[in-house]
Amino acid sequence: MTREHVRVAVIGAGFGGLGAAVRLRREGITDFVVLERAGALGGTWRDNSYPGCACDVPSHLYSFSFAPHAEWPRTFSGQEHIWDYLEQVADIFGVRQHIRFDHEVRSIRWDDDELHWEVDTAQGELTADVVVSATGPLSDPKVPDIPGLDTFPGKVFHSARWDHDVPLGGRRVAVVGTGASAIQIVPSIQPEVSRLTVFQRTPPWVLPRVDRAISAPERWLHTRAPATAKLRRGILWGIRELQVQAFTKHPGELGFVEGLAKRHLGRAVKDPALRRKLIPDYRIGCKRILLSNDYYPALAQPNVDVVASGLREVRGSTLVAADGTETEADALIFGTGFHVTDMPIADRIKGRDGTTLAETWGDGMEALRGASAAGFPNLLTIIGPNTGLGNSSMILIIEAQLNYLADFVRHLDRLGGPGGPGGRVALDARPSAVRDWNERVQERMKRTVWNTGGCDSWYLDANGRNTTVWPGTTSEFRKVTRKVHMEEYEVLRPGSGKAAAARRGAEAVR
Amino acid sequence: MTRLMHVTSGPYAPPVPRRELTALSADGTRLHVEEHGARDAPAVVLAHGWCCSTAFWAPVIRQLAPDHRVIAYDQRGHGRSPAGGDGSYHTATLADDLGAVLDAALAPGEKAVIGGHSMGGMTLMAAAGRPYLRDRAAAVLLCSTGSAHLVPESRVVPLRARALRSAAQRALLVSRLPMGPVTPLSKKVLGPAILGRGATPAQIEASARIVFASPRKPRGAWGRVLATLDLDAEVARMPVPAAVVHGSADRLTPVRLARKIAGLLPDCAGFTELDGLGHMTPIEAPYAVAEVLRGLVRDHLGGRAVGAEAAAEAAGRAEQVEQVEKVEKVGKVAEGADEQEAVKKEEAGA
Repeated sequence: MTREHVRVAVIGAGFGGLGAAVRLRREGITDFVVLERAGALGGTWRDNSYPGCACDVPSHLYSFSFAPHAEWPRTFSGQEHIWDYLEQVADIFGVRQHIRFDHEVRSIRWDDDELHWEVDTAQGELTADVVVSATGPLSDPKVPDIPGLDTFPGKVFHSARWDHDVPLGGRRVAVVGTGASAIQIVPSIQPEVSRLTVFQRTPPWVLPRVDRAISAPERWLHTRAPATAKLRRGILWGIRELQVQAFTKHPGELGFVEGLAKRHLGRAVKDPALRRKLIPDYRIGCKRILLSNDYYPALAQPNVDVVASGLREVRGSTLVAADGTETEADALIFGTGFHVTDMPIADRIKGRDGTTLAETWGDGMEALRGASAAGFPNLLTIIGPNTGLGNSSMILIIEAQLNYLADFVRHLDRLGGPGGPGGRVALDARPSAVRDWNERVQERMKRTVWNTGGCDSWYLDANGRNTTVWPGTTSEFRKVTRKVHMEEYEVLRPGSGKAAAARRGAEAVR
Repeated sequence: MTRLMHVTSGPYAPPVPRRELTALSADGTRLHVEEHGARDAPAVVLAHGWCCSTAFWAPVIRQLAPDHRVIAYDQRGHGRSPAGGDGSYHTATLADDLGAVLDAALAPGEKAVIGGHSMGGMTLMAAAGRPYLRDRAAAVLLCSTGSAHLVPESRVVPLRARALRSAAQRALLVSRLPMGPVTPLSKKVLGPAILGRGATPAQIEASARIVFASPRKPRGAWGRVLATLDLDAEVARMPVPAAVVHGSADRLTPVRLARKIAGLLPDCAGFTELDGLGHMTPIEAPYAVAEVLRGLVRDHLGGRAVGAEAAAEAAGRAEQVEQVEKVEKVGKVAEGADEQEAVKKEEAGA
């Protein structure tokens, strides 16, 4: 049986995967597929349909630079508008034809002889010269292992798998977590439920969100004079670039921002006991800074209880907090985030020596320039290790990584490529280059607020190492990912593989 | 009819009704009626107040919808119901309208718990002497309302001098001046007048958009009715159990008006004073208002046959009358407004 072979297989049809598809077509590559596990595109912006879901980066910045959108309805648009935008991007740039829906990738395995990836999907196998893993860090919900959870008689679900068939009206509802999702959910369901209990391990810092409808004249102007939309984006970007130094080099300067956040809290919450529970004890910025105008007012409503403690145990319909507080609930919602530092896709990727990416990353994720892991040739991760941002748009990072992808494929073409003069070829990041890169990143990380702010966050892995955030500006990241540096890679050619070498060795002995 | 300028997303946006119908009042005025929630469930009918619309009940509907059949209607001259003729501005007309709504929405012999807020509560008081109330209502809720002397009792205008304050408040009630757009300034003025101090920005926004949508002429004309209101005698002959819910910081209808009502009622089924809340209690504390309604359903409607039989009858009747049934689109509340626009109502039986 002959398997289908493609030049590039992209895993995931969210922002990263769609961006990669558009970029590949621009590079003249049409021999690629986008493998999507679900039946629709959109990734994180498809899965997160909880009430109140919106982006906390302004829409004009949280969009592709190559696909400006004059019609953003609000400065901070909601999930349904962002999802619509991605659908439009797929149509405008003609990438829908490349997407294979319901093709969950079960495993991918590097073949060192053939120098290609064997990709096993839910709908059959294929092979690919290059694999782009764009599965995203916020795609697999993390639900804590709570003893007795199976004894809970009511409905239980995660914020990213919202069960719209569960009626919350007039019910007692508990929300576990106070992260970016939870603080949007709480004010959205507070008026609907009879009683709302919020389990909070660590309070977030919350700043006002300057959200408003973008007026018709503004939208008209952005349509008629696209330069104005570009200018708007530029200003939004510039402000955030200037903030970065405070996060990465001078966390002390963030003190005055804490003052703003405290005033924001004080305006909405008059009860001193509640206020005490909501003031964080770590430096602002250490955990993600959240933006909301209605979170604090909702918490101050009489039908809301804030339990300043994590959920420890479930006994039937009784929820027991770590501090012993007991609460009755009819429904339980986990706003507990995602598998970020332990991406599940890493378990399914097997590299040159047969070990999985998860095993290779056992002591923490690391990759060259956020993209290439040693021993995993021709595999690029979009939003890979240390590419996350604390204050700006991830789309900027994705686009920078797409530049790197484009140059990577160009190098492959130049060195060999299918039918090329040099024959098949692959690029594997040198372990020394990966090590050097990560030492540099971790050195810079030492001074940042994420490592010195005195908090535990989803930016840090099980060992306390920050393997998620990029400790610099987006323009720096763009600069370091503009080109593939060939000295950082080993060039693999047919016959140079370990399996082939072993075979040759065995033959020689014989 | 009014411009629909209510909020279109978030928990205060009106949910998409399961079906919409038109009730024909005694004088021929067509009233917009919505039905929400579960089909085979006990019925709760909601009557909104002055300068409001069905959108006002959005959070209470969300509270009750999973296990109640919630019927809300636009009072004449409000929301999507047209104003009546010039001679129709009496509380008796409001009682006629409620009767028409109950006839259209409930199955024959079916009873409901009926809740009225502010002028909706006055509607219930005005209906106290009507035979239909005894037949149709299992119990009623009088929410943030008064029966008489609104003008001198109100504390909307912050003036000490009683005569001056009364004059100013009367002028506000009967005013037909346009209120202008919803702006941060207008919200600053309106918010403290009708909501308590703990109101969230979302509650103020939702309230302002509902109030500012009311058309000028019916607003002034109904205001004139409120200014001379005296329903004390009607309250005293309320034929069914009545619960009273009121905000302690209500400036429009101060809480002493509610205490008086509770005293006059022949069968007061509970008096709930909500601490620190203003006049818009169903928006400020929908869970509290819903809980009282639930309690009335449990205590006074629970034993009745409201199951499949009555509902099937109602459904049969509904087909006769008019309207298109709609399946509520789950989880996309934001689109509600557009979808409602799209609902085509067949106008039969006219």
